[in-house]
Amino acid sequence: MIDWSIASLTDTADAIASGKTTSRAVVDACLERFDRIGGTLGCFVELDASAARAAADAADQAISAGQHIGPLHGVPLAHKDMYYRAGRTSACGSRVRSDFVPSETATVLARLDRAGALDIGRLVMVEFAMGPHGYNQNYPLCRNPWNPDHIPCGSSSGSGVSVAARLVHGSLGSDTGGSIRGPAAANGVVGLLPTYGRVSRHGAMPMSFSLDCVGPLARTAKDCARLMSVLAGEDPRDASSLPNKVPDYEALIDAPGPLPRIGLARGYFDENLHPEIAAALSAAADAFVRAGFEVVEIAVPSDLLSEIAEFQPIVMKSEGAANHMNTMRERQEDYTFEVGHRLHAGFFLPAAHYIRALKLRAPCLKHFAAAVFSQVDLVMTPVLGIPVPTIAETTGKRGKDYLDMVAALTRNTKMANYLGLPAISVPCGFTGSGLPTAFQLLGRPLSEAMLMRAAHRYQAVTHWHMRGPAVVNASRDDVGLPDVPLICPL
Amino acid sequence: MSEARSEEMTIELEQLRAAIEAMSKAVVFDADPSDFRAALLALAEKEQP
Repeated sequence: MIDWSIASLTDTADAIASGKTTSRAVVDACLERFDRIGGTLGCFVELDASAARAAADAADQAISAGQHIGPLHGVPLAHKDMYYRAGRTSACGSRVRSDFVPSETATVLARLDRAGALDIGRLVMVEFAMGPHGYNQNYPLCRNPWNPDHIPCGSSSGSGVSVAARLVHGSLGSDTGGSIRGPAAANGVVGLLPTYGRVSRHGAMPMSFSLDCVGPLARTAKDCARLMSVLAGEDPRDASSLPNKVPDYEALIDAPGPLPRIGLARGYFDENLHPEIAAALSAAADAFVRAGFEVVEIAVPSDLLSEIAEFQPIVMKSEGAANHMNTMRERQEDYTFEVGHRLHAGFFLPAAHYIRALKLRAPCLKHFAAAVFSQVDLVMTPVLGIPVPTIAETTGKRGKDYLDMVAALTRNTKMANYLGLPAISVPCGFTGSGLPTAFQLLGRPLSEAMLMRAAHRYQAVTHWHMRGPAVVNASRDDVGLPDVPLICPL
Repeated sequence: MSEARSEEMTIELEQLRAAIEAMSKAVVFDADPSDFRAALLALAEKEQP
């Protein structure tokens, strides 16, 4: 008998739609797993089990009644606690917003609702999405399901952990410098950063409006394709959203036709690359060749990428400081130490430098595209250049070495945000410590279909996405860690 | 600001100083921030795979 609670999102949605299982059976299994291991993983801020079961029953009744159902009908999802739902608290990982109850619902949540998805809870995130390690001093530790002594990466930490641990079938993250792709890589799931403006940000907490993107984390590229077909598209309530027509991403991932040419990046991304990750990347390139792709080595413009890695924080910190100016003055004690000084630094950036960083985006994009996309369709890079760090290495640390390590976590991801380019993080093996590692594919603007098609073809000839952490089947006693509250309220 | 925060801020600001130095080499007189959206759309993938 198939346990649909551990199957992929698309398989589970199709099984519910065809009557092979019910939404209630899937939700019950996810909730049972949450009862066993949720307290160890610390990834949920709020989970209303009664409401989840009632929503699942309603979904099943709709099928029984022959009503029209959407592509995500009855599938349990949960999202980073920064997507507003009218009447529900959205704390954004912060004491400052612990009592914030929005009056309207985010466009992306409304679109998922219309597609029939169940929203079963709010997920832990780094305070105000400002940190790549996944640590939030306001909550009990959020742990990596592959090894609870390691970090989940962030800032969409709860999203990566809950999808990897099969507590939900998919999740929304947000990505300003790597906050979808980092947790996806660290937890062994797929994460997609869409083109800037491809997915509406209306009703999502702003971190840096020039860089923020909303995107999915799920088990497979096909799962992401189904989610993106629901999420993407122009939104009159988000002036940055792009007007371009949304293709049927899921249909396109299996479409026949020439395959894109992939360039394995040389320069910048392989500087100081950990040898185990380099080996996994090389094996992934071989798998692409087996899948029929042409893979060539390509020299990326290292000097340009080094500069972009410096420009991105100028934009992010300037805009972050602007968002938090009032509350930083009035409630400074309600910010955690690390996020407080990170935001504070933005107040020291003169406007002229911030505007220069914005003015440089178009020239940098043109330069990068001319150097790279004239030769290949997709660029393949590591996501994390180092193995996933331990909690002991990262939690509550200070000083230059620590800040350098934090910066290293986004070294390979933040340029995509600055350039507005889409990217997908795909698991491609494990490092010696047993933690997942991943590659990233970068493409031209609006090449999401190509990215997901390439990732899907890769997953058709590999098995990494089918592996799950042992904790999924563990009993409470097996886990052997202190049980913290299953829910992590502020 | 607490002493601990001041110490961390010093490191943060040093990182930003390096970033500003990196940026100061570029010539951006004729560039406009809104060029970015135009560039994004101009470079967009035209054909589906």
